[in-house]
Amino acid sequence: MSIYGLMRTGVSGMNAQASKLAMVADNIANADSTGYKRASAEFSSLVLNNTYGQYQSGGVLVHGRQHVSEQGTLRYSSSSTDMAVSGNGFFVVQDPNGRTFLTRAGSFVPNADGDLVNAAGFKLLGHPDVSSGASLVANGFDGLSVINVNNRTLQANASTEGTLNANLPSSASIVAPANLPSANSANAAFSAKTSMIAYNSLGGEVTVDIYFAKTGANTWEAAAYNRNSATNGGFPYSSPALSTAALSFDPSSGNLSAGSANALFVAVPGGETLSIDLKKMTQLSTGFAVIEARVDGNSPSVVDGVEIAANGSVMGILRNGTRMPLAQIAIADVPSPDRMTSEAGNVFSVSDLSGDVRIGTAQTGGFGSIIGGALEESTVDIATELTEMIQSQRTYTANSKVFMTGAELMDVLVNLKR
Amino acid sequence: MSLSGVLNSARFALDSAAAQTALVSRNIAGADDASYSRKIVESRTQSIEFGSPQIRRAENPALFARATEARSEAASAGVVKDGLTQIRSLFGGDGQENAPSTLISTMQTALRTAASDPSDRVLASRALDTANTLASSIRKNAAALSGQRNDIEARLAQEAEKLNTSLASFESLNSKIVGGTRLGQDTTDLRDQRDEVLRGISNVIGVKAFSRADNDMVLQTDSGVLMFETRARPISFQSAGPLQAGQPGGRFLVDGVGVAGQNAVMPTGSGTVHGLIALRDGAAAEAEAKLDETARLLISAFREKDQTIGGTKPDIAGLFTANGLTSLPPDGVRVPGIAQRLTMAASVDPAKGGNIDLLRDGGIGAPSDNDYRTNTANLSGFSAQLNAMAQATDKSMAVDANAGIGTSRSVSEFSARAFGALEEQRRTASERAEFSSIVLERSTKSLASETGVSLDAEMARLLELERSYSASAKILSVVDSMYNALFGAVQ
Repeated sequence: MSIYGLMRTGVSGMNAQASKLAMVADNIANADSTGYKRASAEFSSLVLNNTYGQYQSGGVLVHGRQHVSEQGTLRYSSSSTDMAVSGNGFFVVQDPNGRTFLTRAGSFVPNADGDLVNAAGFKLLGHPDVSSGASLVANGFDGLSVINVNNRTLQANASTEGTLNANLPSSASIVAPANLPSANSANAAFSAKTSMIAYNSLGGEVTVDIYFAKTGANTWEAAAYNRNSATNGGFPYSSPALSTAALSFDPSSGNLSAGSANALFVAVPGGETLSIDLKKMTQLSTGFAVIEARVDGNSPSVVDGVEIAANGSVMGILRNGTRMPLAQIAIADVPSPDRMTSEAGNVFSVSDLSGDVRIGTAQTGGFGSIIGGALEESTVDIATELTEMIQSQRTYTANSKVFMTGAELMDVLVNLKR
Repeated sequence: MSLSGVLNSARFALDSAAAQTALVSRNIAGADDASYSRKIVESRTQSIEFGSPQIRRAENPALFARATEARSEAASAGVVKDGLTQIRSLFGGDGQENAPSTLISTMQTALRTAASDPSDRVLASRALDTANTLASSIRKNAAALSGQRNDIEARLAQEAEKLNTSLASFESLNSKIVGGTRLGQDTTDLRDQRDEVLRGISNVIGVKAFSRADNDMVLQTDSGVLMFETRARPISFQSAGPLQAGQPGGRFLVDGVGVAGQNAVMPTGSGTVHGLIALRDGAAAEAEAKLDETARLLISAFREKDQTIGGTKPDIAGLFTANGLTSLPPDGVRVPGIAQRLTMAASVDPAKGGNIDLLRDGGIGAPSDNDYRTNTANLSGFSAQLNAMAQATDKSMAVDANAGIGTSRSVSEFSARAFGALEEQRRTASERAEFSSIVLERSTKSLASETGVSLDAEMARLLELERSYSASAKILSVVDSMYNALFGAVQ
């Protein structure tokens, strides 16, 4: 038995509790840090080889453990670029020196250049092209770039697809072939007309006039014209029909018959070919009525707002209301998240202990989903920390008593010789 | 759940209660606004426990569509009723004192009285006065009818302008709503405003609306012509210029397609525009045609013949003529605009330097030509001419079938039936207007009961919120005292 050993054990216990108190202090300080993961101390004993009849006291070893994989509660925020991961995975971020880290702190806001930067100054990484999300490198940070939300301030999309669903009056009178809208004569006759706004490649609006004329029992002609070439808003147009289609209807159901044309392929002037789906057209005994009319594409508009989809795509919301994908947020995970190295700013770096990084997108391959407009709160609970603190304080005092007892015993020993 | 978690929950509960209280106060503020719809808050609980509150609007698209339809119908019926009442008042309303039929019978009596003593110029002058009143009344009424049709033309141009303005504000609201919805903003108030604009549009023209994704809306007329889809479509009125009698008026175009007026391809069935055009091309045009026929029949009834035996001179206009008339109009065919030119012959009117004796002697149309004189012997007691005139209005003549009152009628009968037909039209229109306004009132009421604010419900909600707010606050104070206990333990 060694009194020195006793004293050293007491010191070791005090040191261990001091470390634990330091962790508690950190936890309490970060009780409100977004994405902060609670740290806790784990102790393991250091026992020396003891011979029979004599006990050598050892000491205690402290292991700091950060509970990185613990999910924090999500709290909605008012900023649409705030985001949180619900489930496994981390955001991949980059510091100003270009080093890459993982984090759960998703309070991103666009900076002056439109890059998404979080409170600690880290920029969010992802893939700028949503369609090629598969080209992400699965086990490394290559191919990732900073996500920018206003790199496309003006964006126009040409129309390519549309739908028109309307009823044609079955009792309409039949139009003579020479007067059909497709003939484009000044005295063209028709039973119904509608119009749709389409966009050319530069985002210019092109109004497409669509005429319907009955050509015979259960057969109709649809003809599309460019409004700009109309004379006084009607026939004759200065340029021929953009597209015509011969529709035939099943007399028993009023739906398009099997062999009928079912789309108008309109070559939008200065744009792409717009295919207007007419599959749901009907010919029933009631008046003309448009039930559905839709054309895609948009005029040049600035990105007015940003929305984060659950699968991590960053959608730009244009002023005219159209949504446009801007980028794809990358999600990374490691086999042992708790063993990653914590660094300042609520970020973690991949270490040998944590295993290699795996990159992907949200909601695929075991990754969690990204929730826009929400933040992950710190996992610290003040009450737990306080009880830990009290406990730790008492243990520290107990250790100090061990040390004091050792010191007193030493005193007694030293005084044996006078 | 940890204590921090409890604090968070309590805080969200407080936030939520505050947001809902704000909504209740918004609802109460909008309780008296007919266009305001009740707002409802819904807590969003996705995968996480608490979310920011989502605001929804009480709506019932089917009832709204029904009310819109009823409004268009009522607007149309109201316009027709007002127009017909106006036409009726031209003829003197209930007493019919200005109706041609009344004035014709007054003239007939005066002529008979004059015939009883042909030498009495006072009686003759009285008969002339009644004839003059008849002619000028028909002339004035014809001018007033023409004025009414032209007013309608002007009003249609205004309605087109109004519709364009409404559609423009609809467009700006709609794009704000679609953009706002996609950004996740609260667009309920904007949607109330858009519905209000839609109400205005439905007054002007029958409208059907359907919704697309993101609260986008598409408008078409009740006949299926697109008025709004992403962008407002142009509305125009092609005025036909100052309308002449019998001339069809201009067309009302939506998106380049005629929806009302001549040769409308896709005619609308309701709304002010429909009512105005129905009035212009229907009741007003018919009344005009009937006045024209009455005027022509009067001229024709008082025609004068060549009195010589075997005389071949053509018949000429007698007591009644029309400015610019050179020969008698052909029988049985309407002469558009003749009513506006109807006058009593100047040659018999002492006020215009005429000779009142011509009334007794005949030859009013050609005073210098003795061949048309009936009283060839120049007798002061000659009554045959006056008697013939008194009977002229009861003589059947060929009538233009297009006027809608048979093919052979006397002037008195024609004018009496014309007024009767007008009265019948007015009664039908007034019944329709009354019926449609009741339907409108009912459908508006049932919509209001679905989407409007009920003060009782709001107050009850407020009490509930007060309770839940104090409960959450209580949780906060309990957690606080728990923390205090803990902090007390730390020395």
